[in-house]
Amino acid sequence: MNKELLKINDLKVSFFTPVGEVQAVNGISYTLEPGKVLGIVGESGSGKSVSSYSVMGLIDKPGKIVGGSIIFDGKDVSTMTKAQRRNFAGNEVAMIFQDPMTCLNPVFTIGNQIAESLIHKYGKISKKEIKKRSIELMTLVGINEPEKRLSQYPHEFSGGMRQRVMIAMALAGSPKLLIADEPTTALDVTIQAQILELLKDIQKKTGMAIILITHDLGIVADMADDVIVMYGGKIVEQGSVYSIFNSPRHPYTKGLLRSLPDLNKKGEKLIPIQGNPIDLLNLPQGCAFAPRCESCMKVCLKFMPEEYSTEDGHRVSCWLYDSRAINKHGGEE
Amino acid sequence: MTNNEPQTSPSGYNSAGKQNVLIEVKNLKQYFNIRSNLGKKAFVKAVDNVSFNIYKGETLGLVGESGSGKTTLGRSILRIYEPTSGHVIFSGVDITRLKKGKLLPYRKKMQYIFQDPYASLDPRMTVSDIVGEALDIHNLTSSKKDRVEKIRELLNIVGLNSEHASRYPHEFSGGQRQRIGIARAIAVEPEFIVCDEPVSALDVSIRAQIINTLEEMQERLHLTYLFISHDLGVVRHTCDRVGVMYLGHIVELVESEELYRNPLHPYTQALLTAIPEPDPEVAKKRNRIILKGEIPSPVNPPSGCKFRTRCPYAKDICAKEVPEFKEYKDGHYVACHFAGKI
Repeated sequence: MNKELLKINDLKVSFFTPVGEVQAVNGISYTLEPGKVLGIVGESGSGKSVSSYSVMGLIDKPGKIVGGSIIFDGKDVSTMTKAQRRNFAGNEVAMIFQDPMTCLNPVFTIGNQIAESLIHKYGKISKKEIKKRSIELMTLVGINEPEKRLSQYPHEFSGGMRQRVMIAMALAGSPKLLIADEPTTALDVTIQAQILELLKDIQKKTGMAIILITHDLGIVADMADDVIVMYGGKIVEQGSVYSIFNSPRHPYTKGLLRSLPDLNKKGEKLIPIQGNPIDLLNLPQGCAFAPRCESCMKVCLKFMPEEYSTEDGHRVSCWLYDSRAINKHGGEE
Repeated sequence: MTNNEPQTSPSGYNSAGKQNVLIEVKNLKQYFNIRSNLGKKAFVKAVDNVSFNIYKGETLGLVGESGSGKTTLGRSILRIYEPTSGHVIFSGVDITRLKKGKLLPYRKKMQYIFQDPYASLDPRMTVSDIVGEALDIHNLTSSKKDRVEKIRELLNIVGLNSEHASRYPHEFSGGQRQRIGIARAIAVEPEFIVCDEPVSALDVSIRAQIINTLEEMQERLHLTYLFISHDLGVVRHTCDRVGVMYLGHIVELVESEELYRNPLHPYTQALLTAIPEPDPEVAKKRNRIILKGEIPSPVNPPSGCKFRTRCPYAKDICAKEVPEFKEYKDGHYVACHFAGKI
């Protein structure tokens, strides 16, 4: 087996809108090993979804991959033909989305839609086989009375159940990688706990890798082995989940973690990140976070920081970690 | 039920000892008419016989899943909905049956901050019109100049610039829009604000800013908040007391520290373990109580205790008798047959 399941190198994705080019993903690189859970965190507009959509080949006009490469299991995804990609998406990589209602077709039964995924994977497959496998999948994702439920329509399912159906459809192709884009954001906290537990359980059983895109640091802490923090279309920091949460390096990550309401600080003021989210149409010249950064130096406003590695396998894009920087720890702690 | 509500609360942030009740909610019911499949009349009991007090100057949190009735309760208290029965007593006056003209002065005292900063601002009105509208309705300005001055002051208080006054909502980010919503709410100098999921629609890095602004407003203007949220982390930080709702009932109500330390209702216990904890050491090790199934339909709620269908401890009695919402110990209210035993 390949040691790297997914290798993304200097990926750039832009959207060409009437008001100008939006650089949604601006040169990101990372690798993912088989069977690992990678959490990608960032706020809206940070490029976390777009970067994963490009792995699936879901970037449509006016969007375009303008640079870099995506290597999945030894194959270059960005140069695939349409036919190759059709075979690839769904069978090797599958995806689940935030809003399961908009992803299910309201006029087909759940059984129909799961069958579609199975036919996509296996080509010619008997009706009996489809039914058997659909019931297996439904049971795997924890839906009771699978036989009866298969003949029902999406509106007869609740939000949490629809997300389970989405997961069943994603699993139909037995993918090596599941991309979950905010899979629980639309769900209640008790249902969220159910779905997260299900994902963990399935990951253990099937050994697939998961890319989990979320804005919720709590979910990442719970689920992920490795974490990527994105801001303004770039990866600002990546490392193991323990090193990101225990010793965050980038001022943005530090700020995010510090702004969370903490049990011990009841009654005290929260420490927010100042300023407003960035405007992707007018990216600053230097570091995208510089205008909001409390440790901002002159160089940050002019030049993009390089990526620096630290001893614990952590990588961070910030001038504070340059050997020439005087104040190495961002003036805090 | 109501008589059990204490006149003093252990939260003790009001040093006077006895706390003043600002709002007394008594047996409030809010039913909505719907037609069932057979054309028969049916009701959604969105809020069903709820009683509690809101003390002056406190932040009372309301948590629960969607469909638990927390937003409806907030709106019924403000008479955005006409309550089906029961009473809301604001500073000693029952406002549930007041006629429109008599109600207006109370409208000025009670305001609402909405969840969605995109939907709650009229896109065709400038910021100064949005904020000024409230001032006009209650005749709070003496002249045009005074109006401009007041609006500028309000914008400054919530952290916007006075030049923002002539702009339209689409020119602002989500966090800034929520600030406009806050300015509109405090424009009429209210005593009480219902904050309905005020930060849920905002980016994580912006939430702390808005929570701080709300807390500053509270200090500065001596406001009382009813803080509706499904984010138990935010509630833990902002609220003095917390009520947990399930299918139209408050199932537990207590000072917030105590709720997180010693939850008595099995639903609260499950909710608390379901919060994603932003610390991998804690998150990866703890044992979650995973509730089975989902919140039942409020048209056809289960008999007895409404939570019994998902409760890991449910016994026969839970299907037969509705557990009484009563004080378990000082100021800790809970509706469960087995409170303290589980």
